[in-house]
Amino acid sequence: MANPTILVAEDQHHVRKLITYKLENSGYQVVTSENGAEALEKIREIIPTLVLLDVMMPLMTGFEVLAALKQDERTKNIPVLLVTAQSKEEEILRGLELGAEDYITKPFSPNELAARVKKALLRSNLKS
Amino acid sequence: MLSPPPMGFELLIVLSLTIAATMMVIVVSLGIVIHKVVNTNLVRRRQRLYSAYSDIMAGLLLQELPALLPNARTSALFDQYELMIKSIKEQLVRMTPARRKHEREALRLALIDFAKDVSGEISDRLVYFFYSFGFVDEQIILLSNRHWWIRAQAARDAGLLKARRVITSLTAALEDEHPDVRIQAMESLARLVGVESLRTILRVSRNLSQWTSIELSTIVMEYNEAAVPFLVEGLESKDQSVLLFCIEMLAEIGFVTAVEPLRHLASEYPNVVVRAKAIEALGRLGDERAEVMLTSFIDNPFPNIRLKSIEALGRIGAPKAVPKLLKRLRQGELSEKIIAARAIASSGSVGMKALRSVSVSRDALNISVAEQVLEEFTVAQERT
Repeated sequence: MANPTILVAEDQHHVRKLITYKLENSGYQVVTSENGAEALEKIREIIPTLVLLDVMMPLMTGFEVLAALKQDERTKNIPVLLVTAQSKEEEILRGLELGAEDYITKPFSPNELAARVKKALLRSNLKS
Repeated sequence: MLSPPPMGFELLIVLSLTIAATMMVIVVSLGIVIHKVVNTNLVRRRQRLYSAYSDIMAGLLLQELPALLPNARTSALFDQYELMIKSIKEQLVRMTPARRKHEREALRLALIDFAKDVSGEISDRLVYFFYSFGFVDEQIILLSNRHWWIRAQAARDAGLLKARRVITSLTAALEDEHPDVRIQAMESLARLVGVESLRTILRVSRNLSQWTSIELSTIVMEYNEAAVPFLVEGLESKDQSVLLFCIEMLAEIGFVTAVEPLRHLASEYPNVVVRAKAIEALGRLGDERAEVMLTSFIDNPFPNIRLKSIEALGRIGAPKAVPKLLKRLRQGELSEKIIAARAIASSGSVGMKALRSVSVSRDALNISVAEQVLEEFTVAQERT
């Protein structure tokens, strides 16, 4: 059985690298994007198992990408985890209302991130 | 008689000047282009270095370490961290000074960016790396730089490094001559020490500007009730700006443990401005314990104290103060009449009844004020 594919949309190089390394070490296949528009295009192309979306990104924000995913039949069931700045409660609430599965706030622990990804994938498997 | 110089000579001068000016323009333009190209290359090189170190550090931060034995020395973990970066250190030592400077800067920036975004055990590794590469000591030196923007940047980065060795230097930076340095030092101390940093910040700070107060209030409000004990300590400050700031924050947070210290300030402090502020804060806290004291201030000789007390009683709602408030309504200046009328109206049915009696009295101005306030309250009640 192929390893789950996770798309990581994050504009900051160092964060993108950290998340990619962690998820690859945890046994996932990782595809990355540097901005929201690129992320949306790649998601529609490869239909990943899970999407990790940073909220603040150039070209398209994480919210805009999330909203677009939920309106598309092909992508609406892909679980999405939002990466948001700490103490931005309004961002978290907005993301959850738009249909995000979960969120993780910066600064984050890579171990916690991996645990949340695993949990989201389990939930998604149970639903399907 | 001298003959005029030949036409050709003038032409030669003009031509020479033109050529010289053109050459100068070409040289300056070339200089600008070369400078731009060199700068662009430098920026690209820095970005490449930054990316490279980001990649390396991401790998090191996530690297699994061998489990330590139960009886291992505490420093055994640090030995493991040191081993991880040994090769990078050796490479840096072998570089020329100029190259080493660029590489260290790229490495430092990469580490600081990670520090902003990660937490947990890898955050501890980052702190160790900062120390081991010498960046902490560099920050301490930069905090004494003669340029304020470098000091401010150093103060900001010191907080991100999460290295406790910089605390002393950051505390000293709280008294820096430039406000931006002071603000960065406050934020970094809060990041490093937590809510207890407020004790030092409030004790050391002097002459808080409006901007500094705004920045500091952001830090205080993040801690909310946890900040109250330190704000109460701050009421001992000899600096009036700090004192007024602490009073304002206590009123804003609204925790009732502030009532007694504020009562003490309102009644004992020698400065009228501070007393008035404390009285206002008591009103905002809305605690009935202040009612008796505030009622005693209704006849205070200082107008500011009288007005603030009456306003505060209006916020609390004080039926027992109505007789004295009525006296103020009848005898005070217009502004005092209006505030007193509102305070009376806020005192429930007793107050409303008293205000209606004023509205049928003989004094035209008092009648007008009473009727205006009665209408205000009627409209407000209808809306709710």
